[in-house]
Amino acid sequence: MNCRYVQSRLSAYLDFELSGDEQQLIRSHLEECIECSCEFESLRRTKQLLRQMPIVKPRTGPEQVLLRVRQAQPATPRPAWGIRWHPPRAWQYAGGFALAAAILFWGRSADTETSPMTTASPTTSYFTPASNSLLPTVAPELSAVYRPYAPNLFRRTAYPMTEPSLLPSVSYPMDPMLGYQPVSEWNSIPSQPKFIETPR
Amino acid sequence: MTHTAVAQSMDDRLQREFDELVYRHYQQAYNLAYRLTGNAADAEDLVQEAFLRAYRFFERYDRSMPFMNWFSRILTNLYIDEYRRRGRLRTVSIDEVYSGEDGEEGTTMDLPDTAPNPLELALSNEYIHAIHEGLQYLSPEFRIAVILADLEGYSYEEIAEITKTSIGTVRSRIHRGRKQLRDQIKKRHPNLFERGDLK
Repeated sequence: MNCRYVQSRLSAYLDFELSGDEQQLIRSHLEECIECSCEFESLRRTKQLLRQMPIVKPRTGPEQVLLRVRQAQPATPRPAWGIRWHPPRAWQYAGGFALAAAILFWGRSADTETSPMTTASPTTSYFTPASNSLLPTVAPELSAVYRPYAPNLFRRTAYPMTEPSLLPSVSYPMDPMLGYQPVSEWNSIPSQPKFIETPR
Repeated sequence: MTHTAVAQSMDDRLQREFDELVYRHYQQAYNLAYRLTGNAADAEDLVQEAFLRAYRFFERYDRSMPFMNWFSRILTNLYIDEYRRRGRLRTVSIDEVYSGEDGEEGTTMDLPDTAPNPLELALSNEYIHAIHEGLQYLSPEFRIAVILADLEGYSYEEIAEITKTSIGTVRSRIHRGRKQLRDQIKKRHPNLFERGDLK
């Protein structure tokens, strides 16, 4: 422990703001080192002088402050997340519609012959009847099959199972190692749950 | 009870709480502001402004924290802002002869009445002025740290919280501030640092 280190910590030592060990080390150094103890003494005296400074009395009372405070309005409380609610602006409506449209049209790209971006018109929505000429005519029976409106990217999905499990009486075919449907099969038809007979 | 009536009674409750806090801490707040700014007029403005801001954001006051800790943060922040806005704080010498607004000259500055508490008479006025002026020589960050530690008696942890810095920074500011202050006082009153008890 050198003097330079000790002198940098003298104020903290004076205020008892060091750990017990450090406090002890500096105390033992001060007993030996004249220079450091002189420095410490002057700092102690400075603190002592400051502590003896009188409390200054204000010329006016708190009434003056309160009088001005009465005229001021308190700030309206803000919610914790720091955003004030307001009715949606026009661009926010537009953004909302765009987002909803994007979600609705997500799964359609493989169904139609052309990209949904180029054929985006009210007639290509899911609410159009099956007789719409834009729907695929290659396999008409498929268009009657249920398709999810917004296939979730992380949807747990059906996947051909190698062998039926015996434990549950109703088993959904699923590859336990895969978990998620491969991208290439996002638009494939989910297979129906299989009902398996279990021995009683 | 309607919603507005509920809000009104809530406001009244907060208002009463705030009034009570102002009455209880006004003296201490003024003292802090006076030591920071170095003169009564600026101290009054600073305290006024700080209480006004405290009132405006009273909703955000966390009751688990002592009011003065929260308020000191507001006051010191305001002081730093004001200091930076002015570029360099106008320091007024106590002994300086100044001219009042109505043109009368030759009067010296009227100092606020210091408490004639017999316990505080240990320091003569001359020494008090020397220390007070010495404080004005410090940079605002050092001055805030030294005043909060030695005049207000806050712990390093509390000062770090008030000034939003680390304890290491607080420790260094207090140390360097005290050393600068000591050198300033020593210049004018070396006898204060002679061995022996304070006179």
